[in-house]
Amino acid sequence: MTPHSDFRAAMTWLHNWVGIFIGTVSFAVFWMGTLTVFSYEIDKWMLPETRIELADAPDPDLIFDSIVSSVPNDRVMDVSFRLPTSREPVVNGLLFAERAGFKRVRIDPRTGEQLPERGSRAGTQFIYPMHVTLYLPGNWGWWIVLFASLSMLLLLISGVIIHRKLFTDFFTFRPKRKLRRSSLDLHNVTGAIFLPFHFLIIFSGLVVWAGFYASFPWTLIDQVAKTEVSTTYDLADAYSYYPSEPEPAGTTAEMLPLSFAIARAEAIWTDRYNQTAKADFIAVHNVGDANARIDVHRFFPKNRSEAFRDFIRIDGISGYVVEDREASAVQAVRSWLAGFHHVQFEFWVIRWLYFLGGLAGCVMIGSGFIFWTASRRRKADERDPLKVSFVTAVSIGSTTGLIIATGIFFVINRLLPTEFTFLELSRPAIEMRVFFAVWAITFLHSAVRQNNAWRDQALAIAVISALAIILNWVTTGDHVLVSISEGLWAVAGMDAMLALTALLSANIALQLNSTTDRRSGKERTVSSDSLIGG
Amino acid sequence: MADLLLLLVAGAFTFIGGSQIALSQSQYSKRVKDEAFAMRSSTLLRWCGVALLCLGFGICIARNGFSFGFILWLLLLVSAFFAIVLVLSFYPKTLKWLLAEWRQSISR
Repeated sequence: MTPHSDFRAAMTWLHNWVGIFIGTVSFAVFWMGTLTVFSYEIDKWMLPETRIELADAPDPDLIFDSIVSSVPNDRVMDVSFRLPTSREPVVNGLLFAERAGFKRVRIDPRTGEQLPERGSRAGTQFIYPMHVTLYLPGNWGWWIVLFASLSMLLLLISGVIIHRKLFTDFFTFRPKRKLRRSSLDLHNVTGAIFLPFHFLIIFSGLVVWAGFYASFPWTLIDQVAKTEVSTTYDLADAYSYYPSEPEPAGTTAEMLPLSFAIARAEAIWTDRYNQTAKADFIAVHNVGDANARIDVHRFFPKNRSEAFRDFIRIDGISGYVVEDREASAVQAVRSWLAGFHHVQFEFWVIRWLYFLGGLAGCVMIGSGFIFWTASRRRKADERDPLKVSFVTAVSIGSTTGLIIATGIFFVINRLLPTEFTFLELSRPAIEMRVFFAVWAITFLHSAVRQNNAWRDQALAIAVISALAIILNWVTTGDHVLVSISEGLWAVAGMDAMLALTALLSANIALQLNSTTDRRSGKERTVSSDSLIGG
Repeated sequence: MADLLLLLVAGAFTFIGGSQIALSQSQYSKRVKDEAFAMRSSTLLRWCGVALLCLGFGICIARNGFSFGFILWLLLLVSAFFAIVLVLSFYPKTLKWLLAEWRQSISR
C-alpha cells in the first residue's frame, strides 16, 4: 500500500466514523439553522396575533412610552427594542425595572397597545436557540455545537480528499440505481456542489460565537475561583461589538425624544456611507437619569453583508454624540461573516437560496447516513448486527425523527388554546416538551422498526404536515387563498412549504412501500433482508 | 424589480454556463445527445461556460458591490449547479438546444 492510499484510507475511516458520531448533532444544527432563515415567518404562522400590517412610520417614542408604562409604579432603568419591519411588525421590547427586574413586552407599533404575552416560543425563541445551543443545560450545547461545527469542517475537507472522481462525477446523480449507489451519488453531489456555501456558513457560525468561546478561559477561572464573572476579557473585548453599560448619575432629568437621537445617528451614517441608512435597534440606558444614554444601532443594513457594526451612543439629555464606533479591521471582517451567517437581507430571493443551501446540507448528512447503513447491512447481518441496527436507529431518529418533532411542534401550537396550562406548564413550555418527547419516541420507533421506520416516518411527516395546514385554516381562517389575497406571504409560504413537504413525504413513503412489497415477495424465498439492503 | 431582473439574468448566465461546463464532458453530453463530441469543441464549450459564469459574477458585483455581490453569486452558483444535476438526472434532453446551438456555431 502506498503512503498516498494509506492517507486516503485514513481519511475514509475518519470521514465515516466522525460522520456517524457527529451526524445527529450536525443534522439538528443544519435543520434548525435552515428553518431559522424563516424564523420571523414561522413566528407569524405560530402567533396569529402578529399577522398585522407594518405601521407606515412607526413612532419610536410611542413604542418607548408604551414599554415604560407596562410597569406602572416602578422605576424603569433600561429599555431596548427592535424597530418594526415588514418581517417583524410587532415590537418585542425588553425592560429592566427596579422591582419587576427584566421583563419582555410586546407592543403593537400602530397604536402603542400592549399585546398579551406570546403563547409560543415559535421560530425566533425556540428554533433559533435550538440551532445555537440544542437546549442542553448549562453551556454544554454551545460546546457540543462548536465541536460538531469543527467536525463538519473536517468532514467537508476529508470528503474532498476521499472522493476519487470529484470533477468527473461533479454533476452525477443516478436516482434509478440501487439505493447504495444513488445515496452515495446524492451525498457526493450535495457535498461537492454546496461545499463553498457549507464551508462558509459553518466557518462564519464559528466566528459569530468566537467571542463566547474566547471568553471561556476567563469564565472558567471565575468559576473555579468562585469570583464574579470578569468584565475584562481582553481578547473577547477586542473582538466584541457590545458597548459598556453607562453608570447612572442618580439625579432625574427630562430626556429628549428618541426620534431626535435616531434621526441624528441616521444622518451620520447616511453621510458616512453615502446612501440612506436606517437604524433598526434602540437601547436606552438610565431612563430619566441625568446620565441617560440612547444607543442607536444598525444591526443589519439592507442588502449588505454586515452585522452589529454601526453603533452611535447619544447623550439622552443634551443630544450630543458620546460615542461613534468605527469598526476595527477585525470587527469589519467579523461583521461581514456575521452578516453572511445571520441572513437578515431585505432581498427575499436570497433567503430562499439560503434555505435551499441549508436543505442541501440536511440531504448531504441524511444521504451519508443511508449510504453507511445500506453498504454495511448485508455483511453486518452476519457479523455485527447490533452495530448496524444501532446506527440505523440513530440515522432515522436524527433525520426523519427530527422533522416529525418539528411538524408536531407546529401542530400542537395550533391545537392548544393560547392560555392553556398543564401541571403548571405554560403553552410554550408544553410545546417544547412535546417536541423533545416526540423526537425521543421516533428514536425508539426506529430502533424497533429498523429500516421499515423510514417508510413509517415518511408517512407520518406527510400526515403531520397536512394536518398543520388544516389546523392553521380551522383556527385562524387563513388558508392559502386568504393569505395570498390579504398579502400574508409569510403564512402562505409556510403553508406552501408544508404542502410540498406532505407531497414529497407521501411520495417517498409510497415508493418505499412498493419497494418493500417487491422485496417481501423475494424474501419469502431468499432471505429476510431489509428494505435498504441494496 | 430591477434587482430581481438582474438576478434572473445572472442566474440564467450561471445556469447556462454551468450546463456548458457539464456538457463539455462526454458522459453528460451523451445523455443529452447520443453522439460523441470532438475534443476541440468540448474545450471551447467549457471555456464558453466559464466565460458565462464570469459574466454572471460581474453582474452581481457591478450591481451590489463585492461584499454582497459575492454572496449573491455564490448562492446562484451552487443553486444553478444543483439544478443542472437534477435536469441531467431526470430531464437531460431539455438541455439539447444548448448543445445543438453550440454545434451549429462550431460547424459554421
